[in-house]
This record gives sequence, structure tokens and C-alpha cells, in this order.
Amino acid sequence: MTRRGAGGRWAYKLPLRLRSLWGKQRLDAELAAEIEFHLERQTEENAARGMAPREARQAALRALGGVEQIKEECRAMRRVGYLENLLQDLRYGIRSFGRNRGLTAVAVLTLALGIGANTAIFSVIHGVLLLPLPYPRPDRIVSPWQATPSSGDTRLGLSEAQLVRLRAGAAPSLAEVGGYLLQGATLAGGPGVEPERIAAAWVSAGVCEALATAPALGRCVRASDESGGEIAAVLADGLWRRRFGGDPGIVGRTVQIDGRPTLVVGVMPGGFALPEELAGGEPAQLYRSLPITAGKLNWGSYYLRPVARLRDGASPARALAEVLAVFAALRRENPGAAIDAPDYAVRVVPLRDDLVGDVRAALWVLLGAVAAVLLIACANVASLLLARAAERQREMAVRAALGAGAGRLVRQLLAESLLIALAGGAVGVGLAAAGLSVIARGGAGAVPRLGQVGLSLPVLFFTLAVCVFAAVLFGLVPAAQIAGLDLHRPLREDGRGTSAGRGRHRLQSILVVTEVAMASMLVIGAGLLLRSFAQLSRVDPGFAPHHLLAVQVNLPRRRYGENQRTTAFYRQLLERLRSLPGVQAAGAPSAPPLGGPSGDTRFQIEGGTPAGGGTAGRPAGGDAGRHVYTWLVTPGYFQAVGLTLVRGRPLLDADGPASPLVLVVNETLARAAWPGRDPLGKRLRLDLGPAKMGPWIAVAGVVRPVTIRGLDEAPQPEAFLPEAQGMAEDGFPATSMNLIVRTAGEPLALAAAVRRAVSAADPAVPVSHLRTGDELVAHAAARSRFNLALLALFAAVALAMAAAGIYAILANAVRLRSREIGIRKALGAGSREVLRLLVGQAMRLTLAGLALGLAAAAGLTRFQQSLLFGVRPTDPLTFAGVALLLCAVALAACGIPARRALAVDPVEALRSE
Amino acid sequence: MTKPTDLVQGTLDLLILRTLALAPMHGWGIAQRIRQASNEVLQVQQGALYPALHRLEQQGWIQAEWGESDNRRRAKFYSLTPPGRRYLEAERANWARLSAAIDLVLEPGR
Repeated sequence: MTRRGAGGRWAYKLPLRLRSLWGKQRLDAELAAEIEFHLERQTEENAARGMAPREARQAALRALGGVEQIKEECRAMRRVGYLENLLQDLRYGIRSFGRNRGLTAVAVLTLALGIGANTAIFSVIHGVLLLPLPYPRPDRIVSPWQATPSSGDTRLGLSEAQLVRLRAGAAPSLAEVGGYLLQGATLAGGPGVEPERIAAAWVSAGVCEALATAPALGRCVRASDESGGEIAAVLADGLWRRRFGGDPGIVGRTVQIDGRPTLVVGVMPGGFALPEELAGGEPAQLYRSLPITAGKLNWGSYYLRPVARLRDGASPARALAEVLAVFAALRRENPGAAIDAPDYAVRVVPLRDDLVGDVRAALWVLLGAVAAVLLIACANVASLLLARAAERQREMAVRAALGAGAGRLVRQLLAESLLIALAGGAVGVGLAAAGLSVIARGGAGAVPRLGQVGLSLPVLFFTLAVCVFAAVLFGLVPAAQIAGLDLHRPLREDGRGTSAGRGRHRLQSILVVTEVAMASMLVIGAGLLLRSFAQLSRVDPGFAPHHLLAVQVNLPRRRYGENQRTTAFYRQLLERLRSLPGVQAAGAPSAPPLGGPSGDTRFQIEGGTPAGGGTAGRPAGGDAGRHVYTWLVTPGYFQAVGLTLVRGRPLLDADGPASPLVLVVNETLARAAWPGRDPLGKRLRLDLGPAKMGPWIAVAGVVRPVTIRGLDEAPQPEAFLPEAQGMAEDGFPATSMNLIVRTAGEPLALAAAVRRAVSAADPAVPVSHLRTGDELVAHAAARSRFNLALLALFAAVALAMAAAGIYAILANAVRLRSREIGIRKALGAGSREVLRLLVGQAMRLTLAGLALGLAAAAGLTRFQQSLLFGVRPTDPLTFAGVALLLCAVALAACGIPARRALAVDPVEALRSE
Repeated sequence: MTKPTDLVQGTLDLLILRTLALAPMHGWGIAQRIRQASNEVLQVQQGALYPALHRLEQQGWIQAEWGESDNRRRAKFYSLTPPGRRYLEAERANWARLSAAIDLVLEPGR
């Protein structure tokens, strides 16, 4: 038959197919009626020819032939073949599982763990690594970062001078360049509305263009806004709707932000966020124009987060070369302002790498881990199915005798496997959903873009694929085993103890060895992370985090526009705080420890080469252009936060605006600037802008380094300046400070009292970001803890499953060999010998698995390197510990089978059979 | 009944389709009509008829409907589908070509 006209025929074929699937009974009735009609007509004709009624009927039947056979042939014409067989198999499978509920439950649960873990981790990978970023052509967005890796790979942004030069087109590969800084703002209140502290950002012109996102209303920040007298701002969609009622007339109006009039020039579309905000956290509600003036650019402070768009056809490599040239030119123009570290490097990083580069390694490791868990789960289920093989052989033999081919039997068994896998998948999705909600809570701060993670359609498709894969994996082996046997043997004799049984046992052994190998790999991975975490926890953060409360306050600039006012305010506030019961000390820094850097700039030491005033041709001196992180602090800070003073004195009340300028440095800076000499009394000056070096400041004290952002960073040069002496870089008084309070008891108990004290000092000052010192430390270790928690969980699950696998094979062995054990006992073997038999088998399997697993781990843990701290990937202690652990677990798994083996009654064993 | 001439399956399909081209008919009627139209030469093997009908139906060349037969009993009536009609034309042309070719071979003295 030709296939011509196949398209048009489907209109007729399809309804028939559907009826064949679901209306079988009706169709059969119709077929019977059709044949019956034919027989009646034939009978009539025969009768008309003169036959007797009964003879006529017989003749008609003879003429037709075998009625049943004809019916069967007609039925065979219904082309449903595979689908109908599959449905039949599934129905049969469901019935057979119903009979074996315990086994089915164990199998489904095991698979649920494996499949659920994979679903959860893939969901995270999908949301974090695979989903596209929310900008047009995000692959063209890059950021030129500078770094000095020896100081801990800090990402230094652009200085204003660098931004302006790049924006002017000095690097042609970068079509658009912009810079921004996240910094909160205070939105003035109104009638009946409190002043509100909101997340905000300073953005330069070029940011919107680099991200290729135009405002929904109005316009974005322009270069003219930057140098104009008035600050321009673009609202976020959220703020616009919430505070300004979604009124389009807001464009062109002026609002009070931080006590200064700000012109609203546009509204961004909903869902917009700056690249640094994509990592998570509260997105900025306001984008203000960066106040930079062409003639008074800041050269030494690298604070602008860069964002740029590559020109079509340009590559990051070419952009890098151009950027290097631009920075080199700038360095020649103003040597005093350049970063002068031996390992200074520039990188042009694509946005995606910026955002997720840190977690990529961790996520792939986790995916490997859950894949291993799935394989172990499949091995266990395969083992379970194999154990049932003996019973099923009989059933299969009967079906084979009735005419089913080997292929048909295998299909039947695979269909059943698919059923178990799908059931396991359904439960697994439930587990994954629960797991994801836990991850969402615990992973905030550790994993970027967590908001994108969820059980979306692609993730569910992945789960389905995993189910099918698992079904084939664990179903194929038992199916082949069962169907490939000589199916006639079981019908004649009891199939136990045959070579088939031994073959099954060998298969099970292989499965167990694989399980142990994979479990040991996972446990090693988790063990290494555990040791890393322990090392991390031992790191001295440089301050005393217990019994510490930190809170942020922001003074409105309008009323606190001068140093004297801010200083007076803080002094008064801190006195109030110190008088509270339960407060041992209080101080205020511009940023708390582990709260990130507050300011950074260049400095020069007295006696070094004088700084160039921006003239080209002046060579950079050896100590011109050193980098330092700076904080403004009030007196009392050092005691409050628990810094360790090693020389000199802390900052005091006496260090006021009229006193000699002093500062406190840390050991790292002292050693770098004045190696081998006493730093007390030595002087340095800070770069406060181009051709604007600050006055000479004397070192009054030296402290131990304090961690700035992460516990695994190398110590950085740090300097603490008295707030009263007003050495803030931007020239503005310190209106955004943190209060650090050392408490005698539980820090949070004093939270309300602290708020009241601030309110009493000035009701218009909002209080935000309340944290304890322990929370600061915990947050810094968030990523390590997250990785560790997940990997440890999967390792534990894998270990449990492997133990279950060992137990299963031992239990089976005891059952199979009970006769042998009985004979040995009858011949005088003591318990010890029987145990030796059993434990010997267990240990053989475990050691084989360990050998494989340790060897594989030695090769693979290298990929975990970036996640480890203070531990080598081939740490012998961890490897040895894991080996011991697995042996212990294997021995524990022997427990019940051993008891059963010992309980074998030799007489019974000999008698049975 | 006389011994039926063996019919190749494809030929049977062709005959059925041709019969149905004239008017819808049930299985019994189709066998009768073929016998009559061929002057009693072609006796359709009844055991082959119904599987053939069902196959043609499953392939979409013919469709079926239950209706009332001439003696007021319910029967399953088959009729040609539009693709079936086109198929019939094509197969008739093929058959003509085939039988002409066989004739050529059988004709002595070429």
C-alpha cells in the first residue's frame, strides 16, 4: 500500500485510533454484530435455496471460516500496537506493585531522594547559570575591573578620572561606559509620611546606555546632570507607584532627597536592576546623577562599579588591551594617583562571569554530587528488582509459553520500571519544592539570583528526562536478566541456587561496589568542605563579634552640613548609649567590620617622593600611590568593636578639629610603609583628589588587621581617621555612620533601647540595618556554609543508601547460603567463623568500593579547589577519615544479617530443601 | 459453491474500493456485488473480506457508518473517503499498466 495522501487520511484515522484505545468494548460489540449480520444474510440465502434452517446456519458458518479467527484478524488491523501494549503493561505493572507494597514503597522513596535532589540542584543551576540576564544582548555587557590579587582579589572599580576618559571614547571597543555606586538615601517625609531610608544608587551618564535599557518615562541621567548644580534622579517603578501614586506628572518635579532638592527626570521600567543588584538583596529605588565635575575629578579613589557595552565586533580581549593603554596613559599623567602594587592587574569581565563566576564551581560540584546520589539510588533499586527476579521468572515463563517474545517481556519490565521512576519523580518533585524553599531562605547571600530559582517548566522537563533515564538505568539489568534466561527451566523446577542465582549475586556485588565507590567520593568532597569551614571559623576576624550590636544611622545633610554638627551629634548620641544599662562601650565607624570597605584611596608617606600634581613626565615614586582602605571613626570605637591595639593609643576625644591630625593604622600598612621601624609619629597624607593631597597626618597607634569583607581574604592596609577631624574624601561630613555597641548580655535585648536613644537625640534620623556581631561573621561565611550544608546532606544520603545496599546484599547472601551456613555449623564451626564469612564478604565489597572511590576522588577533587580554604584537595587526613567511616558503616550494616546468620539452626537448614 | 479463484490481497482491496465507489454498502452486499459484476467468476473468500475491510478503514481509505439495511436490520455501511477516491483512481491506472504488461509477456511471438 502506498503512502500517498497520508496527510488527508489522518482525519479519518485519528478518531479510529482514539476509539481503539478507549472504546475497545464497543468496537468488539460492533464487530460481533457485523459478522452476525453477514451470517444471517448468508443463512437466509441458504434457506432460500432450500436448506433446513439449522443446516443453512451451519453452511453459512462453514463458508465464513473460523469466526473467532476472523474477529482476531480484524482486531489486529487496529493499528495501536505499541501504545496499547504500553498501557496494558502499565496497568499490569500497577496491579503487580499493589501486591508488593513494601518493595514498591522502598523503591519509590529511594528514587524520590535521588530524583528530587537532582531536580532541586538543576533548578538552582537553571535559575542562576542558565537563565538569560534581564538586559538586551547581555553577552555584550562587560566590566573593566582592576585588582591587586595579593591583597585578596578585591575588585577595584573605576576612579572618576578613569570613567570620564573611557566614556570619552579612549577605548573604542567599549561603545558605552558608565559607573555607579550603591548608596542608600533618605527620602524626605511629607504630611503624615515619615522620612524613609531607601536603597539608592549614584549613576553616571552612560549606565542606561551600557545596559541598553531606556526609562519608561522621561529620560536617564545625562552628562550635563553630573556637573550641573542640581542633582537629577530617575525613580524606580516600585518607588514611583508606592510614594508618588504612579503619577506621570512626577517628571520635572523636585523632591527632597538627603535634604537636597533633586529633580526627577524619569522613571525606569518595572523589574530593572543594576548588575550588582542582580545578585540579590533590595534593589535601588532611586538613581541619582553622580556629581562629578570635569575640572575636579577624583583620581585616587576607585569606587565606581563599572559597566560597559562592547561595540559590535569587538572582543573582551581587544577591549582589555585598549583599557590597559588608557589606564597607563592616566598613570603617566598623574603618577601619584595610580595603584602601584606589584601584581596590579586589569580584567575585562563579561557580566555573567561577574555575577555567577564565584558560584559556578560550587554549583557544578553539587550537580556532580546529586548525579552520584541518583546513580546510587538506581543501583539500590536495581538490586531490589534483582532480588525479586526469582519470583518473576515463573511469571515470565508463563507469558513466554503463551507466545510473548523476549522483546515483549523486556518492554513489560521496562514499563514497570518507568512506572516506579515516575512515581519516584512525583514524590521527588515534592521533596525538591520543600528543599528549594529551605535553600531560598538559607542561601540568600550565598547564591546570586536566587529569585529566579523555582520549579519552572524546563526544570520539570528535566525531571521527566531524569525519570526516564533512571528507569532505563535500573530497569535494564533486571529485565535483561529475567528475560534472557532459559525461561522453561523455572516451570519445571524451583529456581533457587541455580547458576542464575549466582549470576544475580555477582551483579548485585558489582552494584554494591559501585555504590560504595560513589558514596566515598561524595563523603570525601563533603569532608574537605567541612575542614575548610573549620579552618575558616578559626580565622581571627580582628575584632570580638560576640555581644556586639551594629546599626546604621543617616543624618539629613541639610541640617548636618558641617563637621561640628555631626561630631557633636555623635558625641552626644554615644554618651547616651554608654549610659544605657548593659552597654559596656560604644563607638561609631563609617562601616562595621565585615561590612565591606568604607573608603579607599592612595596615600604617601613622609620622606617618600613628592606626589606629582597631575603633570605628565614626573616619574612615579616607589611609595607614591600606595593603596589604603579608610574608615572614619569616633572615639570609643576601638573598645566597642574589640580591636587589638599593638602600639600607641586609640583615637580619643582630644583628637578634635583643633588638635594635630592623627590616625591609627593597622600592622599591614605599618609593615609595608615603614618596614622594620617604629611607625608611631611617622606621617602620611591621603590623596583627596587630583592635585589635592591632604595634609600630613601622624600615626598615633597601630592595630591588628580587621577583616573587611570575607574571612578568607588576605590582610589589607587599613587606616582609621577621627571623624571629628573631617578627613572624609568627598569633603562632606560623615552623615552615614554605623553605631557599634558592646553589650554585657544578649545584644538584641538592647535593640529597642538603642533605637530610642537615637530617636531621642534626633527624631528625624532613621535607624536601619540592625545586626549583631555574630550575624556579621555568619554572613561573611554564608557561602561556605551553604556549600557545606548541601554537600554534607547529599553525602549523608549517599552514605545511607550505600549502607542500605550493603545490608541488602548481605541479607540476600545469608538467605541464599543459609544451607551452607547450617552445614558449617553442623560440622563444628563456631560463631566466629560464621561471622568471619559474613563480615569478610562485606569488607571485601567495601574495600573494593573504597579503592575505586578514593582513586577517583584523588583525581576529581581538584575541581573543588576554588571552594577550599586552608585544605589541600588530596588532604590525607580527610581521605583516611572517610575510609575509616565507610568501613565502620559497612560493619554496622552487617549487624542484622549477622544476627540472622548466627541464628541459623543447622538442623533446620539441613532438613529444608 | 464453486471453488473461488484466489485473489491477491491488493486486488481484493481494489475491487472493494471500486464497488464502494458506486454506492455505500455493507460487507455482505460488497461480496454479492463483486460476484454479480464479475459474472459469478470472482467469489470473494469471505474470511478475507472483513479483515480487508477493517484494514482499509484503519488506513483511512474508507469510512463506516451504522445504518439500516434493506431488510430493516442494522448493518455497518462502508463508503469511500475523498483520499480513497483518489487512491482508487491511481490504483486503477496501475492495474491497467500492470495487466497490459503481463499481456505483452504472455503474447507469443514478439
